[in-house]
Amino acid sequence: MTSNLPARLPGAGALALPDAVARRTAELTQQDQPVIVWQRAVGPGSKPVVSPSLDAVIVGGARIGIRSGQPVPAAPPGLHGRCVGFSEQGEVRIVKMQTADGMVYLAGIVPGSGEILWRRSPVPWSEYMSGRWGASMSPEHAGADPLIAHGSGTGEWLLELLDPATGRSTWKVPWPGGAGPGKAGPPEYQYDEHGELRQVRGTRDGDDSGNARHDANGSGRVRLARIRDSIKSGTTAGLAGVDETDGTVLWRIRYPPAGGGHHWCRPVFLGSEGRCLVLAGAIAAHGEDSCPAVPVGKCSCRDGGAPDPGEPNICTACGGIFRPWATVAVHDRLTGRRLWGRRWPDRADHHKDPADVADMRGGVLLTWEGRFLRAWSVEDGRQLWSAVPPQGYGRFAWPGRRTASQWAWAYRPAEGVRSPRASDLFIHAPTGRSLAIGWALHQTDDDLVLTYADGMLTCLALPGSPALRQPAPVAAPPGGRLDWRIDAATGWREPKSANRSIERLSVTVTVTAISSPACAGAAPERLTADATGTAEDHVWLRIRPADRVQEWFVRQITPSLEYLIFQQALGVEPTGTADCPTGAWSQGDSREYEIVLGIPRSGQESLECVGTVSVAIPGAGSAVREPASAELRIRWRRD
Amino acid sequence: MPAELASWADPDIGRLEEELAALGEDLARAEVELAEARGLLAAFTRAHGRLMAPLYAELDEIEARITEFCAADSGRPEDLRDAHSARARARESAAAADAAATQPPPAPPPPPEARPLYRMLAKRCHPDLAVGEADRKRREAFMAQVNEAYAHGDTSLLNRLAAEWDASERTAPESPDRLARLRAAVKAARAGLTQVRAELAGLAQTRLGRLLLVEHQGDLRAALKQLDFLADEVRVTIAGRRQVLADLTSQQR
Repeated sequence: MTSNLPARLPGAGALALPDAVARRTAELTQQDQPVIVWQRAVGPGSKPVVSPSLDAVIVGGARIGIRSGQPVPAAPPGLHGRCVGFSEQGEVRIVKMQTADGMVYLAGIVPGSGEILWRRSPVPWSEYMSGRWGASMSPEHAGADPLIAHGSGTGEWLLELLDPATGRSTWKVPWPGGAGPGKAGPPEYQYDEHGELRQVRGTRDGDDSGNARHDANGSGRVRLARIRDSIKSGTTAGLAGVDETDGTVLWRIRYPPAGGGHHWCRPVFLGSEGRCLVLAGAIAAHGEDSCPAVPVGKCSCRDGGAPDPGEPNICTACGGIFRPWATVAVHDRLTGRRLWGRRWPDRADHHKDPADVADMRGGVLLTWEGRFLRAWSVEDGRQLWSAVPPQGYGRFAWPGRRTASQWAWAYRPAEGVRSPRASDLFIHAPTGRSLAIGWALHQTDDDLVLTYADGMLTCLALPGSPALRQPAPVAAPPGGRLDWRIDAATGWREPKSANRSIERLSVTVTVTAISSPACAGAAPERLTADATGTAEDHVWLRIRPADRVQEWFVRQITPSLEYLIFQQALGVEPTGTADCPTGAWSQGDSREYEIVLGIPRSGQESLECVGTVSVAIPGAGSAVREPASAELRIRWRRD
Repeated sequence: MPAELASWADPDIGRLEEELAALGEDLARAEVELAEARGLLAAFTRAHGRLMAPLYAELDEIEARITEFCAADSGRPEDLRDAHSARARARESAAAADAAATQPPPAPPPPPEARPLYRMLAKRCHPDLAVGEADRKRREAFMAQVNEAYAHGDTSLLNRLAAEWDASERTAPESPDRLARLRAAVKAARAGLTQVRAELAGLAQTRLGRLLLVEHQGDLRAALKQLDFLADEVRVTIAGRRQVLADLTSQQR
């Protein structure tokens, strides 16, 4: 026996693990699969459409909440048709809203209930259409107060920081303001159509006025504003950094001038991460980045004019062949200076969206570079990983729209630009892991994915989705505080003129909130609610007109005249369904509504409309129950 | 009275002896657990390496070929750089697979009948139960023999060692400052127990230890079954990537 043996059992040598192999296996074990949040059969013939407000899917005339899978009320009238929602700041959505009186407003709306918190800056519809009024949101939806550039009504732009709750102005400055010639003023950078950047204004290269005002951690105080070609123009002519405290312009980046076939050369704002702003774009140039003789972006004749979309990619001056290149550039939020950038040849047509070869997810920049998919650290341009996905993939769906999510949505262009497609991929930006998920319709910022296949709507939570950490949606309770009765007087109409092809028909609907038999032995809070006369807080009258109905409106007749919705002015969603908010009801309430429908003459009885009472379920988010409905039939006669 | 004086014992000594005995029990149990965990993990590590490392090597080889093919096609410096990186990774994976294939098998686990003997001996002669430095050295030397006998599953030797230890304990002289030494021994035993438990926890924090000891609570069969499942997943990935490579090369032809 030797006495030199260790006191404890040997075996440490046997545990010299091949760490790289063990790490990969550990990663495999941690790879969760997508989780089904809810499923709902809607029928194989349906064509689901995601609502303009992006919180519901509309299928077969019904609205299904994307998060809950439950029926939800239609978006309020302020979010329909011509009313363009362009910002959501927490609980408030800022919209341009047209009302039945022909005026256009800037308004703050609560997305779930449709409650209008404030309206301001009214202009007549004619002025709005003439282009003397417009509004443009900051490209960032950072959850802070909205920064809006809008027309003053006199053709001048104003830049304004709003309090989303009240619509009141925190500050207001002329926009873009103080951009005279010369070197004075904030630094201004100009991109040309070759993707090259030069400083055209400022006291010196890399003016640090932003840094002078803000320390390294003050990046959140520099807000971004779009520069537009004109008030009405939908195109962005540049980007500006604005001091959040007083509206001082700290820097500007201008895009190539419009016209001459250069529209598609303009970058788009892809997203931001800390101090870094990411722009993505496309250029048409010839030359190779590896060839010093013909540098990228320079035609040998120095003409440099990129061809119009659809034209042969040949320089008319020297006969050189242009090639499309994709670009990304990362700028400093504080100074506007370019920190780093990349460009690579891209064979595809960028005329529609120059950004679909780049995406930002979870602070990682992804680029499709030929057959390679690469991930970059936004802050320092360090390459994180690269992969060669299966053939055919090469585009991102919804690039730059979901920067808080971790999963990028990639598709095969050959399968079409519109979703759903059979073989889309979701790629985890930090790691490069990919999941094949076919028939995806929509992706939320917290990585819920809605799919539709074989008549089944499915909401999936991708691994790591914050939605998985939230409590499950509340199931709809079997009953509410009140029972409901809805009576519709069948409408009839005798055609009087053979010349008119559309007849206006009026139907009266009586809605009554009645005592529920289950009221006996009700919970104390219900008795309290009944005693105070407010038994249901949020009730809507849901109207689902037939496809053939071309124009219609709904108004309350008794107890008071009140227009609820006017389709002709506001427009409706593609399915035609609309919810008319009617407010709170108490037991015994009875109200009459007149539904006026403009329909083609048919000369026979037909179902023209379905009216439904929708009641919000307390504590269940946007979910509703539909306790009563009535079919509105039209009977034609010639007596 | 003299008779009463002779029978008097310091109550602190009795209490400390009891505490030391309890600590010895815990220490022995922890040592056995640690030994078993080490043995299980060694077996699992070897199985894991032999099963997974060749699959990762195969996958990385295909990835390297795909990347090299695409880089050769484009000729762009970034693509060539990525191809170079992919090739380097494939080489590393191949080396890891070779190392896993040549890893010697761990010693077979001790027979079950050796376990109570080992536990009994560890409880009595563990170095962390030593009362003084000389006693510690004596125990360390003895424990080393016990460990080796247990590692070889030699139950007759363990029995002999137990008898030997009992005999030596009977002839050991009574220490004059026993109270102080017992206090020191209890302190050392607590520290030793903490250390053994920390080592056990450390094993469970390793990547494979977490899989075997935490997720499957030391059930080697269940952990190996999961490895099989993961290996199947990697095989599916390999098949997919092999198809990508085939598509690329067929397109070139």
